[in-house]
Parts: sequence; C-alpha cells; structure tokens
Amino acid sequence: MSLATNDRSLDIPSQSNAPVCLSIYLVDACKQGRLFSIDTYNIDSLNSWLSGWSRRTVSNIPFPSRFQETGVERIFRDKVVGKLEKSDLLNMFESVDVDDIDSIENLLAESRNIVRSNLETLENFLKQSEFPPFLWMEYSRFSRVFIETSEFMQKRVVKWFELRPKRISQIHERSRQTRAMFSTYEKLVDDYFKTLSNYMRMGIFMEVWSCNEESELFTEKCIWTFRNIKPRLFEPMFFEFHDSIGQLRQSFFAFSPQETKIDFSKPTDWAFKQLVQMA
Amino acid sequence: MKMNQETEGLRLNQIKSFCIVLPDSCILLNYIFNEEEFRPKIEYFVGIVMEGIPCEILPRVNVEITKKLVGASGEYVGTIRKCRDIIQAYCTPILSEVSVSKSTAQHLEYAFSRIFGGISGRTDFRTYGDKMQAISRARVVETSVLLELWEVLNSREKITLSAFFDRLESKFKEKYIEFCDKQSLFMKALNAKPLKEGDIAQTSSQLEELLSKCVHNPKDVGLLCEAFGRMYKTAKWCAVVTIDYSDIVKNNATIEELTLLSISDPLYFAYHLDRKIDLALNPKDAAMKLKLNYKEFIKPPTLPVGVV
Repeated sequence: MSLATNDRSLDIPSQSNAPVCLSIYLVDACKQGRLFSIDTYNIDSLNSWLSGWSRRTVSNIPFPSRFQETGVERIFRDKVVGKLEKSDLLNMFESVDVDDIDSIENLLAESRNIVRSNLETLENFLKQSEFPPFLWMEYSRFSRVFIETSEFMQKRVVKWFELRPKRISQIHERSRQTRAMFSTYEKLVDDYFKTLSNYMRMGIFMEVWSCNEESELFTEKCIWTFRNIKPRLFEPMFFEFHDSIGQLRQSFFAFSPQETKIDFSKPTDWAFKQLVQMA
Repeated sequence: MKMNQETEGLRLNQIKSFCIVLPDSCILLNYIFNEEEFRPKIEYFVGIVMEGIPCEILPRVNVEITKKLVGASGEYVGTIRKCRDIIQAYCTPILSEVSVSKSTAQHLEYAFSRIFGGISGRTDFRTYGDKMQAISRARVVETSVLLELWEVLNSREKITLSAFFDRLESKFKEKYIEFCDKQSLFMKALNAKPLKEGDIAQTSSQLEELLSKCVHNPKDVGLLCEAFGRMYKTAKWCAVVTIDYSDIVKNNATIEELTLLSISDPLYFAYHLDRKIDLALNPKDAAMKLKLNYKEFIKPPTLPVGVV
C-alpha cells in the first residue's frame, strides 16, 4: 500500500508487518520453550516459522477473483522477508546475545517503535473521506492496545530472560521452567497472536481489494481505496478484528486491573453517548 | 409450596451448574453509560453474576453494540466534516489560517442550518420518524460542537478552526476507545464468554414465525431464536436479561410457555432460574415432559458432502 504524500510514497503495511511478525515470533519462541535457544535467533528458523504463519494468516480471506490465495501468500511472505532483510531489525535479531538482556530489549523496543510510527501514518491516511470513520478509530485503538500489550510482554520476557542458563546443561531445564511460568500468561499471548493476525488479515484484505494485479501487491503501486470493497465481505473481517482486540483487552485487564470510569459530562463525550444510544 | 422452601435463599450453586445468563445489549450499554435510572438494577445484576453464574454474550448482542459504535462514529464525523466543508466553501482563507473566535458561532449556525435543511429536503427516508431522528442526531452534534466552542473561547486558547474540528474528531475517537475498554472490563468482571455462531444450534423459520406472533420487533425475534438455540445446544436453562420492557419482557410469560426460555428484568432473573431448578430437569427433558416439540424449532444439522 502506498500513501502518496507530497509525491513521496510510503510502503506502510509491509514495513509494519515485518516488525509485527518478529514480535510474534519471539513470544511464540518463549511459549515453545525456545527462548534461550541460540537457534531461535537465526533467519532460517524465522523463515520456517513465517511459512506456517503466513499460510494461516492468509487463509479464508475473501479475495476478488483476480487473486489466488497461494499467490497472495507467497508474495506476502516474500515481501515480509524482503523488508526484514533490508532493515536494521535483522541485524539486531541475528546479533542477539543470550547473555545480554539489552540486545533483546532493544530488538523488541525497536520493533514496537517502527510499528507505532507506521500506524500513526496509516491512521492519518485512513482519515480521508472515502474511508468510514470507524476504520481509523479502530486502527488507533489497535495501535494503543498493541503498544501497551507489547510493553507488558517485554517486561515479562526480560524477567524470564533473567533466568537464562549459565551453563549448557541448564538450557533444557531453564527453558522448561520458563514455559511453566509462561502458562499463566498463555491466554493473553493467544489473544495477542489472534489480534496481530487479524491486524494483518485486515491489511491483506484492504490490499487485495485495492490492487489490480499481483505485481502491485504490497508495493507502492497499490494505494488503498474503499471504493471496491463489498460491505458483506468487509463486515466479518472488521468485526473479527474489532472483537479480537476486545478479547485481548479482557485478557490484559486480568493482569493490569483498571477502573475505567468514563465521564460523559463533557460536550463531545455526551454526544458520543447520545449517538450510540440513538443508533 | 412448603414454608421452608419460601424462606430459602436462591440456590446459587445449582444455578451456577445448570443455568446460563444471557444479557441483552441494553444491560451492557447501561453498565458502560452508568445511567442513573437503571444503576441499582445493573449493579445487582453484576453483583450476583459475579458470584459465578455463567454469563454468555450472544453473537447478535455483540454485533448490535459494534454496529451502534460504527453508526455513531459515522454520524458524528460525517456531520462535523459536512459542517467544515460548508464553512470552507465560502470562507476565503483556508480554515487552518482562521482563528476560532466568537464569530465562529455565526459560521456554525449557518453551516448547521444548511445541514438541517439538507436533511429536511431529503425524500429517501422510509418514514417521517426516521427523518426526525436524523435531525435529532444532527442536533446532538451541533450541541456538542457549540459547547466545545464556548469552552475554547472561555479558556482564551488560540486555535485555528481546522485544528478545532480535528480536535473534535480526536475527542470522539478517545471516547470510542474508552467505550470499547469499558465493554472489555464488563466482560472480565462477569467472566463473560462471547459466543460464535457455531456455539448455537440453528433454529428453524417455524420458531421465528411462532415468536413473531407475540414479539413485533424482528431484532428481538432474532435474539430470542439465538437464545433458544443456545439453551438447547447446552441443555442448560437460559435467561435473557433485559430492560427492554416494551416487547420481550412484557410478553415473557407467553415466550416462556412457547419455548421454556426465561426472559427477565435484572432483578428477577435469578429467581426465575431458581424456579427452573425446581423442575429437576434440563430444558430438553422438560420440553419432552411438557409435550413441547422443541426439535421442530431446531434446524437439523447439514451432513458433510458424501455422508449418507
């Protein structure tokens, strides 16, 4: 997708897909008890994981007849890998030293910052009149939830990282211990995966319905548009995305209790309440 | 009924084991908006469900709330932008170069009068009532915009008209996000499970026709069909909890007679479920005993291709 802004095109979703994928990969590695495994921080392992991930992500997205699932999946995966290989993230990833907590913290923080910056630009793009307002509001909501959950997970990962094995003989046992501790957060992690997956699915959906041919997919030639989108196809995708964020919040609040007393006395807040009740 | 049965409290442990509570959208909305009129009922409902009564959210309830959010955001932002476009059309400098001042009120008054005139002149409304509702919604937006304007002027803040409109959209977005969070908090507080279509037995058109004879709103009929489908899928007594007295609570006795589904105000649902415990039967067995052919109301599952 391209955001033509003063003659400068920005290839946003692919840029944010790579760091998002990396974040999920790392949390998944932790879930599998492979957080302390040197093989985890290897581009071949990441590629292998990505194959399965991209297949699941692309499946059951309604495509226009000009696109096939296998073709889109291949292009999507290639673009993500391509972006990763050109970015500093790959160097940071491959340079992770299991004895240095800072290296993984920096990797997670950098991924998050790239996604945050891209999402801000995407939100501004979606404020154009051709897009329904709830779409940019939802992406704004996703951005906030992603950042908050990612920061929370990072603190957990750093804590578990402190249990890193000091001897080779400890690797297996320490990883098992981490997995056991991780089980407390398993629901949160599952919901986090689901939300990120749905974020990507929304992006792929918008991409295929905005592009005319495969060569444009995930490039600056494809400028997102809402003109071609059929409401009956868009609605389930959007609802799935929206609901998954709600589910993630529900899981998150179990660890970060919040008392949201919403004040509806201010003018715009009052208008929100009235319009929801009248809808 | 024996005296000691009447003095017993609610059999919560049995209700937790054999029953499910299905709150309607109005319960969630009143929890989030904290309306004074219904606050004691909602607090009682939340308090008793938090004792551990299984709580589930029907797909239709979830969809309805999301659609309300979608509708409200479209209405608000759409009206703000129309207002902005009208003012920009006759304003010589661009709005990012025009400071908000007391004369902004005149611009807004003109813009909104054009908006109301536009709504009044439309001929595509199904009913006169729909047109009046559209005007009411636009008036809500107008009210909030003008009040925000007076707040800016009273604070003597220097802001352009463009930034003022941007700020209004941003404030609305914040409320959108807060609302969604409060909805998640409600779900967490009640340990509520959002249901998918696969969690519900599909009901037949016969059930729809039967319920339509006493419930006039098709949305309510759809809701009751889903609740019925959930009750017979789980074989647990279900209570739809609502404060919509106009239709479904008013006809709850008839609905219960036809389907065994309990429809209750938040203050009564636990009592109604407690009475179901007296039957000492699950809904399917109770239906058979009462010669209620509930199977007619459930669509037979479609077999996969190739299975005979």
